[in-house]
Amino acid sequence: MNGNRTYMQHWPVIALALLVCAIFVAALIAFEVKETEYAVVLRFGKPRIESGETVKTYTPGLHLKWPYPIETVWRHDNRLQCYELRKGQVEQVQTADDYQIIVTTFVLWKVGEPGLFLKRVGTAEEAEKKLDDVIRNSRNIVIGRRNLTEFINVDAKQVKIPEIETEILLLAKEVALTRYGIDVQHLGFKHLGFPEAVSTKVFARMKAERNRKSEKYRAEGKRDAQRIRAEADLAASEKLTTAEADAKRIRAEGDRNAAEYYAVFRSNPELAAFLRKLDSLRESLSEKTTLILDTNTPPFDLLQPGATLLEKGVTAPGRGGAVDGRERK
Amino acid sequence: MTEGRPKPDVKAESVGQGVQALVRTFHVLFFLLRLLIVVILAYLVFSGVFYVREHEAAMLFRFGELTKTDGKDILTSGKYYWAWPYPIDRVERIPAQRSITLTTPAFWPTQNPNQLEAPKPNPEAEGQALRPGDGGYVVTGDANIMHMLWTVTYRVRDARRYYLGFFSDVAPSDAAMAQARKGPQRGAEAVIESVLANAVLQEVSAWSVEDVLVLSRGSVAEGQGREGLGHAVERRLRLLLDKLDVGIEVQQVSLTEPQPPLATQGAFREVVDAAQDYRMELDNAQAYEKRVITEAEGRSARILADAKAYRTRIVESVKAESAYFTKILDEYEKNPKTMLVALYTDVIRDVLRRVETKYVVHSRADGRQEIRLMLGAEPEKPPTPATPGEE
Repeated sequence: MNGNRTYMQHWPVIALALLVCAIFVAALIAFEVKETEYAVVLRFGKPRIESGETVKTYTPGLHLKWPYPIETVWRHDNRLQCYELRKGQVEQVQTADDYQIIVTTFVLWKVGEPGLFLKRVGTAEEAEKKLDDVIRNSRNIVIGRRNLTEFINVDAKQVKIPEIETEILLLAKEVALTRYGIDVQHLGFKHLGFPEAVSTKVFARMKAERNRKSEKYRAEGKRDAQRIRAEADLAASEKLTTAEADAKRIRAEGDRNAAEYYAVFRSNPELAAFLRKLDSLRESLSEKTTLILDTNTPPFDLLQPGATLLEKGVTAPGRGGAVDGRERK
Repeated sequence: MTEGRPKPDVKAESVGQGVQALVRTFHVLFFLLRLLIVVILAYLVFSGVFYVREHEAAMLFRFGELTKTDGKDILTSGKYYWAWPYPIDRVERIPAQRSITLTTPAFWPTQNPNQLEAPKPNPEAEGQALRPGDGGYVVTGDANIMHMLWTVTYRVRDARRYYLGFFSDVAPSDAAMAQARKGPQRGAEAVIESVLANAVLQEVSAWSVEDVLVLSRGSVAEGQGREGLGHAVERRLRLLLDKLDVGIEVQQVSLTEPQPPLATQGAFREVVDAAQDYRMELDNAQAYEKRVITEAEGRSARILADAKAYRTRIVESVKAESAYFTKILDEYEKNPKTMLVALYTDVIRDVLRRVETKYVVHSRADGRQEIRLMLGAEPEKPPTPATPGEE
């Protein structure tokens, strides 16, 4: 009785001790596998085999194993990883038509065969080194079979970059999987460039092209401006010509209408002509005109001797025409 | 005899006191231990409560295995949940509703990735080559070199696919970004950055530099019959990412003004100047066209107005003359001589009154007369004012 009471008094100690022991034991014999990783149990450094030569992998959750050092757990992320190739990144690759280009490649990879990966590779860093070699070889082989115009071309149908990438991927995928247990799922070019020496030539060509473009702009500017001016002059001339033609028609119309009233002048054409002359005389002489007349001209004939004689009149236009008086002499 | 009396056991007494003190200490310790256990239990209970914010998608993992809550892999946002403490349960939060912006420096000149502004014109750089691996650029379909800075804005559409399908490494603002100009190294952001660069490369490889310069802005270039470069790259990026099933949704792809290499910037500026000259020539010619045509229209209108005025005037004038003639004719028939003289002298008087200079020359008997006229005579000069100081 007394002993039980003592145990009950110390339940916290007992519970804590049991908890610590449980955690300790669990840490020794249990291991967790995440959704995002592969786990392989190694017994004395050798992976557990499931059947044949297939290494046993574990589903996500809690699993048991023998404590260290009998069994240990090897883990690796099972998600896709991106890797931009470092080896041969600035290496010149020769195309089928003997151009030198520089291609930077990236791959998306993950562990395909955990057992093989563990045996041949082990870590992500080591996997990337293997990928450097595999992809570099495949890339050089495939690019060597292609022309530069299949990489860059203003005709979009001639550009075969996706096909070239797929070809490299297929070539590298098999090698990487069978040799290293690496599953390369996607491959793409990240950069396509020229060697340093070629870039200076490209710049020289670009400058020449730009200069040609500048000249073309300026020449086209002058040409188009001249065309616009010539068309403007033509349009203006056409407008004036049309207006003048219309004006002639209008004037003719006026003259024709006026001619209807000329009929009255036929009753005495001489008088009509005389009146027109008078009108013309009145309208044609302005203030600044210098007029030189002789004394035969009426009314200055009054200045002649004997001008007071009334019989010296003016000859009627109907009988003499001129009004200057000379015919009278 | 003092030997008969038992001596008090001093040693045992002091041991008994020590045990009692130890027991008391243990009592205190056990009390504190109980208290600690209660506190720990309380902490375990309350620390397991967590809230999934509105912009987040959260997943609960128990011993590493994704657990379903309410039949779903993704916990509903805006709610409280409870989970066992680590290492039993683990909560992974993905900022699913937040837009993430990522810039690829793959086609930009080498510089500090935190200073991604356009390269400054540098006369010393004229003619310098681009060293492979040292300066990012993109090659156009007509083998020209351009610098471009592309940015993609995206959000996580499928948090489960995004987290479980693609490795997540350090945030791009951390060591990986500062390491060089590589950006994120292995994770989902590295995938998106690399695929964006791949889409740009695939697209620009089929564009001429002229098209890149002209159609680099806007989704569809007006009048060009070809979609803008930004739109084309965005379409290609969507296709690639859908194929990879990254679990993200591309919201926007944008391109900063494409820049020619420093070595050729002078020539490119010259083209811009020439284009301005072209525009100026056209503007001047169009101004001339407008002026000339407007003037011609004015003159045409004037000619037509004059013609119309003439038409009216001639008709009215002849009409008036005929009326005048009819009236004069009546009088003339009555007394022709007088009428003519009267008319004639009226006109002469009127004319002579208006004329400033009149000469009347006597007629010689033989009818011959010599008159000398000085045509274009110099007008009389006004008297020159005396120079000051001259007498």
